[in-house]
This record gives sequence, structure tokens and C-alpha cells, in this order.
Amino acid sequence: MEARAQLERRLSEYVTSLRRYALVLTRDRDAAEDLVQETLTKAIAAADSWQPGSDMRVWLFRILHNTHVSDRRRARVREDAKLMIPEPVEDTDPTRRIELQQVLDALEQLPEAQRLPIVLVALKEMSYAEAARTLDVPLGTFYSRLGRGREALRKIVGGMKTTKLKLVV
Amino acid sequence: MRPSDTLDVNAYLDGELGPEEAAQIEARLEDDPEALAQLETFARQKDDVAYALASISAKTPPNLKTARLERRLANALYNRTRPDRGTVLAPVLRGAVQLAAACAFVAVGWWGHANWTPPTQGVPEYVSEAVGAHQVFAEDLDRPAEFTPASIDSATEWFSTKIGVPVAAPDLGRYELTLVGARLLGTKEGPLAQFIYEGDGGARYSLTLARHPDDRPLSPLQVVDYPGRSVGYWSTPNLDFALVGSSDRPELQDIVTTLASNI
Repeated sequence: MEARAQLERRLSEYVTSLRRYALVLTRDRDAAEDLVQETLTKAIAAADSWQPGSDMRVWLFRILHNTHVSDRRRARVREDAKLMIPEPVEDTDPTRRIELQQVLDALEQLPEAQRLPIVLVALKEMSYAEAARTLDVPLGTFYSRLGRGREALRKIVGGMKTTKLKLVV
Repeated sequence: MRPSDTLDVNAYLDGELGPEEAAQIEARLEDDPEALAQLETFARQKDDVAYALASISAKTPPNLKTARLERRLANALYNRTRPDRGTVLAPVLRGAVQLAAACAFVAVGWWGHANWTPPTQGVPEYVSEAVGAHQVFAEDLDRPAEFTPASIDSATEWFSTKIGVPVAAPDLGRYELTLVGARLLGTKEGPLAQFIYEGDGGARYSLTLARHPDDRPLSPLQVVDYPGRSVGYWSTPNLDFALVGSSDRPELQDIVTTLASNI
């Protein structure tokens, strides 16, 4: 039963990544879990369309992303979803913790179109093609959004550090 | 720095460039401190974002409904990976399997007629095929098996694909039996995996595994005697098993009892 166990392990890893991505999209733990469950339910219903050998991770992320987009349309939420980080990351080094929180705060300031490519590539080290398929955008669009997003992130974090230094002095 | 340069650095960082393009970027980074600093910043940011995101979900308590859905999806997807016999095989492979089946069946049938008549009415077809295959292959001391012990891992992977459910060769070391080879047989019942074991005295046993047909009942462990050999057979929801050995029935019974209770 090794193949079955292997599939279950992979799926478990993907669900963990889906949950992280759902948190980024929804800003709420309960809503994120609901989104993951809705994704899994849709995936079960569509299991016959999944081609063995194709990338299950991209397939699941794409279902989750599309589900989120249609949920938002239904709810007529016009505001751009902001990044939600429930609590500062677990790290015993306070300096490191502050640095990481700065990056997340900066990420929160980016528009969603730039934030999601950064998150998808960082989340599970997806390839550009996989992440572009997940977001349902052309590869070139994904490519430029990622570049602009990272550059904007660098400037925001740089600005945060400068402000902090001034405050300390 | 031009926007396209920024994009190239990102693509380099994320491993999206081919070797030649990556080498060009590396050459440029050596002479461009600004680009190098940007790459280092992006790399640090990427690590930070990944680390922070990884920390978020570590705090998520287990959710039973999610876990249940996850299991159901695993079931659904696993069923998708099980080939439907007769429809999944490519035409060329199907032809090869049919040819192999015909050859094996003729060989087994010839040996069968020459050597025994099945002693027990109602013995499943795969058991007769297992006994025939044992005579044809397992007792041939001169010819090596299709797969040697060194390649058993890749062989079982292939067997699993062909049969449609995972198969493996159990360790029979406690009975001082060593795995000496394996082969895949084509029969009219479908593919059949045969693992051949040898005892210290040279006695051969063969364990045959076949996919259990969904429309047939499970067989409890039974031991039957054929001329000169004994066979223990049983089935699980996924697989049918048959262990063929010498006529030392108590020893074979001992082995199959252990196997059937542990598989």
C-alpha cells in the first residue's frame, strides 16, 4: 500500500499549503478553513477530471483560487483583500521576529495582484508556469507582477528600516 | 537598473532560467554590485516570506471535517491511479501482454495436462495458474528469473503498475527462505506477479499475487495438495495470494498462516 500512503502524504502537505494560501486570501482562520473544505469538496466531485501524473498541487491551488474569486464576487466585496497574519511568527529571536513581521507588514501593503505571485512562489516553491496557471493569468503577466511586487516590497521594507532607525536615534 | 534586469534577477533567483541564461546573469552580477545587492535582498525577502507563511499554519489546530474530506479525496484520487484492466494499457502494450498471456497459458496448460489434474473442485483459476507457473519457472534452477533480487524494487513498482494495486515481496527470512527472483506473467485472468524464494536446501517456493476481482468473494486461507506440492491460497480486498511449495504441507501451512495474518 506504499503508493496509497505516498499519495496521502503528498495530499496532506498540499492541504497545509492550501490552508496557508487560504489565510492569505481570506484574512480569517475560520473563513480559510471553510475555503479549504470547499476546495476539497469540489476536488472530490471533480476527481474524475484529474489526470494521474499531472500536478495535483497546481490543480488544487487553482480550485482554491477560483473558489475564492467566485466567493468574493458573490459577496460583492469590492475592497482588495489584505494580507492577514494572525500572530507574529514563531521565532525565539526577537530581532528576527521583528524582521519577519516587517516583511509581512510590507507584503500587506502591496496590491493583491502583486502580492499573490510573491506568496505563491514562496509558499511551496511553485514554478512561474504553475503559479500563473493557479492565478489564471498569462505567464508574462505573472512574470511582470512578481518583478514589480518584489521591487515594491524591497522599497517598503527599506523605508520601514529607515523610519525605525530615525526613531531609535 | 532597468525593469527587465529586475525580472531576470527574479527568474534567476527562482531557478527559472536555463543554464546559459543563468551563466549570463552570473557573469553580469560579478560586475554589477547593484544587481548583486538586489539579488541578495530578493533572496532574503523570499526566504522571510516563506518562513513567515510556514509559521502561520503551524498554529492551525486539526480540523476533523477537513481531515475527513482529505481522506475522501485521497480515496478518489487513488482510484484514478488504478488502471482499469483492458482499457488503460496502450494498444502495443496490450498486445504484448496478450501475447505473453497466450504463451504462458499454453506453457502452463501443457505442463498442467502432463502433470496433474486439479484435485479440488472450486479452486480459483489463479491458483491453478500459480501452480503451473511454479512448475514452469520456480523449479527451473538453471534459468535465472526475469528480475534478480538486486532489481526487485523497480520490478515490484512495475508489477504494481501492471496489476493495478501495490504489490511487494514479503520477507520470509524467518523461514530461512531467500528471495531469488521475480517475474510478471500474463494469464487470461490478468497479470500475475511471481516471487520465487529458495531455502537453504535448494527447495523453491513461489508466491503469486494477482489483483482480486471486484465481483468475486474473498477466499479465506485454504491449503490444498497437488501432486508433489502443496498450495496455500487466500485473498484480501485488493489481492489474491497463492504460495506454492513442496509437498511438506505443515511447513507451507505454517508460512501461509503467518503471511495471511500479516498481509
